[in-house]
Amino acid sequence: MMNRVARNTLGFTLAPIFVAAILMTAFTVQAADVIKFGAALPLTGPLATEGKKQQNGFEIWREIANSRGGINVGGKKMKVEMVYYDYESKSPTATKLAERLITKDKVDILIGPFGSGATKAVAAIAERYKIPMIAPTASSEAVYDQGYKHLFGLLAPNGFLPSGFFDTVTKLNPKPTSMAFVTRNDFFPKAITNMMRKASKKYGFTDVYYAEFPKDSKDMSTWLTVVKSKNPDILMVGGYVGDLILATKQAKELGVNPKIIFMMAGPVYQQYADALGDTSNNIMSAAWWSETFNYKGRVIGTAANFADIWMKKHNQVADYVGAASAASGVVAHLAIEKAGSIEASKVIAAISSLKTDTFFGPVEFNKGGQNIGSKIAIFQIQQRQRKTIYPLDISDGKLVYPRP
Amino acid sequence: MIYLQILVNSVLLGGMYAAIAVGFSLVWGVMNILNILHGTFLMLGGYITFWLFHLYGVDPFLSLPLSAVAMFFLGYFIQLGIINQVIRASFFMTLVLTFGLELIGVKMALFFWTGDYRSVQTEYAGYSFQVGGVVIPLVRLALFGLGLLLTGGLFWFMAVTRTGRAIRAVRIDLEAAQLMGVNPAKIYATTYGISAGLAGAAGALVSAGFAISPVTDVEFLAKSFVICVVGGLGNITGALAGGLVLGLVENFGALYFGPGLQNALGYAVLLLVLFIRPSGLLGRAGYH
Repeated sequence: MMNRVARNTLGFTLAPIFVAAILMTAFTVQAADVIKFGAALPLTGPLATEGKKQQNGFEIWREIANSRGGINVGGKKMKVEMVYYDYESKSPTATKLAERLITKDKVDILIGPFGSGATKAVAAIAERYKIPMIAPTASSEAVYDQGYKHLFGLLAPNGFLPSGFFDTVTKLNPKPTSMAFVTRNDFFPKAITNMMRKASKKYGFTDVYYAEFPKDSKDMSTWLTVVKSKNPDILMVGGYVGDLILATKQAKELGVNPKIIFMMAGPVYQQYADALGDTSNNIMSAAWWSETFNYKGRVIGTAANFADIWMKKHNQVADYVGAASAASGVVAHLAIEKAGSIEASKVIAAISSLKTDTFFGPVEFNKGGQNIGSKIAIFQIQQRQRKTIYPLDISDGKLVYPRP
Repeated sequence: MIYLQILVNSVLLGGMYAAIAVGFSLVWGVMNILNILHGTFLMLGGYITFWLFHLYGVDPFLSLPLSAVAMFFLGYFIQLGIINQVIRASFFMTLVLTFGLELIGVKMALFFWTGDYRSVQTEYAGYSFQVGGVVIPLVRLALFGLGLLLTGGLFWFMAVTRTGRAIRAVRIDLEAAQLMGVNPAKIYATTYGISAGLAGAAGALVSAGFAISPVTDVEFLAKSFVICVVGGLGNITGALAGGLVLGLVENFGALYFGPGLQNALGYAVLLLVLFIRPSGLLGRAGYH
């Protein structure tokens, strides 16, 4: 055994290394004439990439708004200040930080965290303190059915997806008839996969397999082997980008080759095609926004304008996460101008009745607070690029079917 | 046929698990350090391979030795300069120290390389061949081979070479080893360096078979822990045994109970082994 008698005092001085709390209070404007926005984001942990994109999105909007003197509140220009915290990809921490943003930092408007699960948790806090909250990246209907009056979400409901997908695939020749479903055991992937599964029955598909894999799965070979033996026409996989890169890789290795592979939500990110190269080709997915959509509105301009700014700043193709985040700011911006006040109840009333066009698409909230003006587009990766297949009025490509 | 395929998948996975865990087992067995940095070395080895491939088109099999050597030196100096300062302190102190270093490593990787998932996508990346209807993916076969090679190589090194014997001597009786002229500080640094080098080698191929990101290190660390305890601590072949058992349990468990329980079953085996045979399947014999 080791000699443990000698104790080294250096060990005690190393304790501060441990302390890694990141509190980022950006761009403090000293005057009282500011509107304070607060966001707890997953800046570290498994969702770090998404969290960073959210932050980059808000900043693009904030810079544009402030460069024009701020938001016009009843004739007086007020600058925008943002307070960010890192919730380390842990939802319970997000709720604590949201509470801190409201009680300590006294933010006027709360911006949502990443994804449906964390948003649902944080929305309860906003509701309790009666602070308007705008959620950029929560699309599951179950987030908006709690009767909350202070929550508004930018993404079109998940329910918009099945009709678009099945309208597209049922017109194909030869017509696909069977489907297999596999999902990460997590709030959003499970919700969207089960919704598609339910809808598939309505459209007459045979359901040959359903399975869930755990959150930090490092091997997808077993369920892929089973899927291969069931030989479905369509394979749908729900998960996040890390899961879906691994699943796509292993599907290729094991020769799992259905006519359509549909994955949510990973192929929409540039890193998916970058990591997989040509293996990413002909994978289908869906997106709430793309720079190719002919959307246009006040503050930021067109979808292409936003994508240009993003490319210049971050040398990366913009996706819906960053766009929806900037759009959250735009919605708040337009609502505050309409209300002529930053008083919570007036802002809430203004957002509820908002009906406008933005670079992110039309915005109109239903009773639960979810944006039903927007669309979900179906796309396929071709030559490592996203090609929109549906809706036809914004499509710029034709589906490759069956996958070669 | 499906059973045979899953058996092959499991064995290949098990070999890869051995490659990941063997260095972790070495440091734990010799120095009684639960090395939280192990996953970080693996991640860094993966990034070296990724950047060499991405920027200069270097094949991962060629950059593998480079990843291993770079991680050896990084590990060597971390042990010599930092961990050796608290090596006589309690088990908990080295745990906290390596945890702190892990946080620094991951935050820096996030800062420099963002949280994006990266993967080495060579021409042969998705290639596989068939033997009697069973599909064998090339990259995973290579990872399996690497697992055998690293385990066998380490076994040979510890049994035959002078440094290997010195490592064992320090492990068995520190004072006697010192009296024989062994410098424990150097031996600890070498041991830690070898462990880090093994992780770097594994990371090189992991970056080809999986997607890596700064935050994936923890997942491989958790696997290493289970593999070492199941296989038997401080026993080099234990990593191979533990890896194979875990691969089989995870995959056949996923087949019979659903993939959702894949990871949970791994931990269930960990508990079972701790109850029935706390010293692990192959026991603690390796260093005596």
